Amino acid sequence: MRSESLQPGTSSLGRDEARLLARCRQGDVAAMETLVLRYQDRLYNAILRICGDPEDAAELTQDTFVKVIEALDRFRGKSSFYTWAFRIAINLALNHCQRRRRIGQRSLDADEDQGRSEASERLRDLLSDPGSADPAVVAQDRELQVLARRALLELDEQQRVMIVLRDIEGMSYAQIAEVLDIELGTVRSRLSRAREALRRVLESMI
Amino acid sequence: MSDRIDPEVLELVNALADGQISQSERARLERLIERDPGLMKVLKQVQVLRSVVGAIGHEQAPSHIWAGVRDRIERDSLIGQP
Repeated sequence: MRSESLQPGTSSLGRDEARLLARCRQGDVAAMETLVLRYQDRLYNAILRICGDPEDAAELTQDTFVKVIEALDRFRGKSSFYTWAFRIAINLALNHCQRRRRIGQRSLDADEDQGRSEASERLRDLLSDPGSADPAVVAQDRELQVLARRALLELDEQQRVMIVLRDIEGMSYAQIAEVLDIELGTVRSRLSRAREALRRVLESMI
Repeated sequence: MSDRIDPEVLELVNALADGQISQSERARLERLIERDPGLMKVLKQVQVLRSVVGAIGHEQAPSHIWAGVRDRIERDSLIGQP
């Protein structure tokens, strides 16, 4: 089952979601399954981009849902459920990264290395002459995506989280501030520094 | 991209690229860009970075997530019973 399309950070709970959460609080296992299936893809993907390892990401996603279900009684609906669950997921992923420090030591699949030099050239052209970039072409460029994934894992965890929340999850600055429990101004400065760091990493790869 | 740029201006450039900027900030940034056209290139570089990262794509969660969650909830419930 695929995740539903969700708008992260909407401030109020929909009636359907409120009912679902109420059933979960009562110990309804079927409702818990629905909850997990509804949110698992987005949480898993964000965690994967932060921790970089599919197995770890799957385990952390499970950890997130167990914590969410255990803590549902404390969720008051002041933020959206998604934002609240995301905060738990990000905290777990960050703690995991800081514990393991395994980021950057991973080997890439051989097929991912194919075409890397050509992608590096394209990236160099894009960064030196960004006016020539066609977003549609960039979006389809698999080798560029490999470079971007690799570069993302070179950032420190806090910077990586900023890029993941904004550029992959598409959260607004206000939603990021809510998830990370930081001020809007801090979101701005951290994101700006994270993108600058990402640019430097990418330039070092080309 | 931004070695000589005031960090606050760079934040504005990023905010503009993200559509997360107020009218007054946008007006201020546009004035800055008029004075320093190099800022337009910086803006385009930020847009390129966003496109490249945004294209990374989404991975679907493995199918065993719920099974693992259920097992742990059931185990914890059993452990919690007297």
